[in-house]
Amino acid sequence: MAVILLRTILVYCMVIAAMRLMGKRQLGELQPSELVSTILLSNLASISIESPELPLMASALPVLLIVCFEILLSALCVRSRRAARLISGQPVVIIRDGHIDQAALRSLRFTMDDVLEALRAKDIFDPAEVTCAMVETNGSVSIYRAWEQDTPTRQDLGLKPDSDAQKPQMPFVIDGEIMEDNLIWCGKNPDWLKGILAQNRLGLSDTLLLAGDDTEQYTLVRKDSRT
Amino acid sequence: MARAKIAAWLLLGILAATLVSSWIVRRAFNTTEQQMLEVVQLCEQGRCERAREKLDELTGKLQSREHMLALFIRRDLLGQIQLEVAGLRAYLDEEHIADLQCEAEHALAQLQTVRRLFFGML
Repeated sequence: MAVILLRTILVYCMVIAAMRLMGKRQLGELQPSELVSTILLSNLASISIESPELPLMASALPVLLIVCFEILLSALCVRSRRAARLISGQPVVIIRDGHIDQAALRSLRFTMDDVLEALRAKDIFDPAEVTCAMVETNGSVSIYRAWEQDTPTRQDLGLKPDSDAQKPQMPFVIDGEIMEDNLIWCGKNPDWLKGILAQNRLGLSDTLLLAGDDTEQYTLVRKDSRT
Repeated sequence: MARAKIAAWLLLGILAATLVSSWIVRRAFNTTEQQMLEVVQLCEQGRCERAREKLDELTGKLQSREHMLALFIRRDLLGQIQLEVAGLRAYLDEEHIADLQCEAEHALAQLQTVRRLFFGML
């Protein structure tokens, strides 16, 4: 048992170190420790299924241990920025005021193609349009467009809202179940809901979706009768 | 932070389970080893009937502990140990002392192998 424990710790530390060493290019959307946990968990979980002669503990214990590590590491990262930097790294700026930081690209082993691909994914075809671009710890690229190239907002254009709604449309009933938090957030109550259903001659169980905002507007979808 | 607390408790539980399992396995293996040697000694002293009783006692204990040990040790390895121990019965008479000693050595080696698998570090 102690061997399983020690081997799990060894493999976990080893894979995290390897992932950190490989850098951000190897990561998708997950943080390094999350990716390591995912890889190990998927393999460990299958051990006891594939090999019935092995005791269940041989895979259950390492899986539990990894889950513990993952939670404790993330808790540690929340408390300590230093630990977070050590475990997950930190974002790296690759474009500043339209200028590409080639040293940063080299250290990340990003090619120009990778940068252009990331920009194109955000509908930008010219790096000069970017004020700031950074590679996040999970490997994704965040971009802040130059002010003159950025899409204007409604506020910039001085547009007025076409409805009085201050809140987005939220579901109040989904498949006959009342979402009370949403009702309260939009300033409604169960009596209002009952009134709407009564107006439409519908019971709660006949309602597939009832959504609304903080105005009297709502969207109602009734359940199809099953034949 | 509730998750962190659960994880900490889980970690403590895992450590406790590890210690308990090590204690259970060590005790079971030590007893088996000791009783097997006693069986051989009894037979060498000419008390083969008593040796048979002792061996029956040992196989009974192994069978009753199998469920617990199978939580920590591969079932096929446990089965091999049981077979080795049960196989000693055929040599429990004064004519087959040398064979008994040889088979007992074999069973002890098997036990040592499983012990190394369980307690060995790398």
